[in-house]
Amino acid sequence: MRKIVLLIAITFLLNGCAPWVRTGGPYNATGENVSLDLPDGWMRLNTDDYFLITRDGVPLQSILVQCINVNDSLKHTKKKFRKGMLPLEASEVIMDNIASNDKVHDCQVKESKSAKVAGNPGFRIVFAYKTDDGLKMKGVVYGLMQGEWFYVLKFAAPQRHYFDRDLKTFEQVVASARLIKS
Amino acid sequence: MIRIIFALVLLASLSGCATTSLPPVTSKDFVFEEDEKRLWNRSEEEEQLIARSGMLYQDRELDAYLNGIARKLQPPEAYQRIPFQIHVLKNPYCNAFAYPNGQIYVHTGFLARMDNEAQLATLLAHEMTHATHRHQVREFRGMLNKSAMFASTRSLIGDLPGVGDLTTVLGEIGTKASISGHSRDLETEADMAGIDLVVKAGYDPREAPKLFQHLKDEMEEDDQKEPFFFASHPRLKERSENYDDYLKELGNRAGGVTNAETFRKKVAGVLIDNALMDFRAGRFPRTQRSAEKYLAIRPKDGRGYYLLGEIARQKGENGDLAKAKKLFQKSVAVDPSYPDAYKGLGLLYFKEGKKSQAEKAFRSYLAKAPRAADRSYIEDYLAQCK
Repeated sequence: MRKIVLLIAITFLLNGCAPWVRTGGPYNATGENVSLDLPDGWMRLNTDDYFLITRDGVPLQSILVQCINVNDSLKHTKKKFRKGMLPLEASEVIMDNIASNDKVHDCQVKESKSAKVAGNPGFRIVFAYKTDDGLKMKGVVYGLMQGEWFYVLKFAAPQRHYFDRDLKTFEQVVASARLIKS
Repeated sequence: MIRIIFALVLLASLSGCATTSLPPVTSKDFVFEEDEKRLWNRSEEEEQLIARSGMLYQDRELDAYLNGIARKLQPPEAYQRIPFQIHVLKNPYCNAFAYPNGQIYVHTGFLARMDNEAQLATLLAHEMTHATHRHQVREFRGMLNKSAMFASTRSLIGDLPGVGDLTTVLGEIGTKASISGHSRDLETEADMAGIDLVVKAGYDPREAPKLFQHLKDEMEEDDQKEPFFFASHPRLKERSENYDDYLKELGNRAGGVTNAETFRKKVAGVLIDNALMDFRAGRFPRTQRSAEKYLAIRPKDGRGYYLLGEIARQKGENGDLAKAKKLFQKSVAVDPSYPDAYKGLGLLYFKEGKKSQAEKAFRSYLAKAPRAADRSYIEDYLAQCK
């Protein structure tokens, strides 16, 4: 009986603590249907909905990769992606989702334009916002609509120091991205 | 054994209790307490954080209007003790809250829902009463007393085998649950003292219960169990009944001004800005209601029709696209200088394959908004129109 209780406790512990894994080199994110090259020395966290990587901690920089079905609800907006959306329309949905997060204040799109993502026509948005603490943040989102799936690669970091320092790494990650099954 | 523990717990809790019964700031017996000062200092820190965060809605005229109503509600002696200031927060949900030092925050979402100044006065009077009746320090003391009792309980029973861990598990949830009952009384006091102020200021108290209807509407639309404003408040029905009882007592004497027209003009900007927040969050029924309210005040502003058109375009159901087109055209007709309606039209024509019409609309958009953040897409679509 004691052994069973111990086993259950260990299982709970293992499930409860999401493991951070050190990154470096090619990575096949089968859940997100994306393969990409991740930078050396960053840490990766996989969740049910997305995976993200960071070097110094999520508040200081994060790169998030997610694949969203058109039937899935978004976290902060009731709007949904639709099959056949133009890149401009899809870009507005993803930005509405970001701007409707109650932790995001004064969100402004600085630039939004067409861009290739995983070799396909998508978009790239540069945006800025403030956190609850008044910290000025900057971010870049790449998005791609493929049939019933929307792929998003998002980078966010404090505007001061971290954004400029880690943007190049993010752009390299995006450039390496490929869809596993198209 | 249990009786001994119980007696010890009672003694320990009683010895550490501070009084939660304090007179209002307007009372002759008012003394600014030490813990109250600390609470005010802490409030100021939090207010500075709010100011830095970009959450504040910037509209000096609106701020002056709100503060003018607040001045009508409270007697000068209250202002001598508490420097009331009303602020607006960019948030589409119905909520408002007060700090003990008289800084009061009202969400744009609540202002957008209200119909007139009497309803606004009811809300402000309620929040101001929290400050004048020193609810935060009373609640804070109540919480400390309960925590003291809880700590005493823990220190006494924590050493008993097998019990200490249980109190740790109860922790926050148990303490919070015991506090919520206390808040209930204070909210009722704020309602009743607040409505007195509303009547004294000459506003129609029959508008007061309508605030609850707005909250109920929001709750139903969003499928919330309890709206924000009532997170720690007595339940909706109970509070609404408090007002009803008050009105019954007033009988035929109930009456006063609502200042609906002035209110509508002053909050017009909030209506459209809040509608945009609701629109981004995909709450289309609310966006539609606010945009229609806005158009009733400013029928020649293209933004209202544009938002209604965008709702239809993004819903994209039967007949919606034709409806969207008409609304965009209406927007262009009433305000030819407003760019976004041209973009909406361009996207509709583009998807219909009507390239020459799409091109014309897109070109108008770029001419009106040469620095548009999405210029690059439009240029791509223009290239595809050729």
